[in-house]
Amino acid sequence: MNKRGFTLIEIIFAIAVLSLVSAIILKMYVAGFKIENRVDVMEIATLEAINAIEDYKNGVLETKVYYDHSWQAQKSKKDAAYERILYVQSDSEDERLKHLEVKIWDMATSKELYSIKTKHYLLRSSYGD
Amino acid sequence: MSKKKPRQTIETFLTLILLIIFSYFIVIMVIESKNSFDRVSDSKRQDEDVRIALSYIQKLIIKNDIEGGIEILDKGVENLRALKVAHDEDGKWSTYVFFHDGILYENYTDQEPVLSLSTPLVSLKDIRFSWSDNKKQIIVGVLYNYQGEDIWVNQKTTLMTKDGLYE
Repeated sequence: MNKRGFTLIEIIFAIAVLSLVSAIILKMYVAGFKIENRVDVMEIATLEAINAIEDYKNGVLETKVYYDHSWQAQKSKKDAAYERILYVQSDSEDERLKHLEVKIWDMATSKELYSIKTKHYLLRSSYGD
Repeated sequence: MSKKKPRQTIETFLTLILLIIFSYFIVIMVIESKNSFDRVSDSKRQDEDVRIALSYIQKLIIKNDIEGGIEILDKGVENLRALKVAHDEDGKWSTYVFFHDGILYENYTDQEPVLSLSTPLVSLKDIRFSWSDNKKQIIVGVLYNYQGEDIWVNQKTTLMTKDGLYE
């Protein structure tokens, strides 16, 4: 039986392995936390995109809306965390048929978070584009 | 009785320290994993509950969008604020959707609705019903835990029967 115990090299190696495993697990936690946050963001981005279409149906024609970090609408672009853009295009054959597209942008990364396309037929003539 | 050399004692002590650190690390990881799993499960359940509630209410409104058929009553069900959706022109049969004690309820009836005969749907933090300024849109707000902070998120549903949206 070896009665020498552990050498310094063995202890350093053990600590190094332990540190590596901890770093990997910690990275997984951080990734999990980021995914959880992204799910929250996507949940509200989806709702806001659908709300833009509902607003258009209601005659509210705001093409650009800015949001802060808590998804509260704000007027200026300054310090905005997210941006919602509504694109409206009339159909080439029927003026009353509108092609709607809503895009939600993350202002910090300049990446598109969510987008939705739909069509809406204007049943009354008082709408504008 | 043999006496251990001081060097061997220190080595055994160091090994024990290493084992204790390792055990502590494992225990912390298990606790953190459990907490993390609970947090993700709660968040997922909340997302599902909110989505179920909002989808249900939106479908109910769209499906029963008849002239004057949708109302928000301040004292709809036993003094509770409720969304009333009539299923026919005369408004005899209606569905009442309301919130009480952390639960969203529905009551489909042709009589005065009561809480005890209502069906619980999903658990929510809070919900509120309101009209848009032009009274053509129902806004359903739900209290949602967003990254650790409670915020109101709104879902808008435009009524197509209001004010000549249908020609």
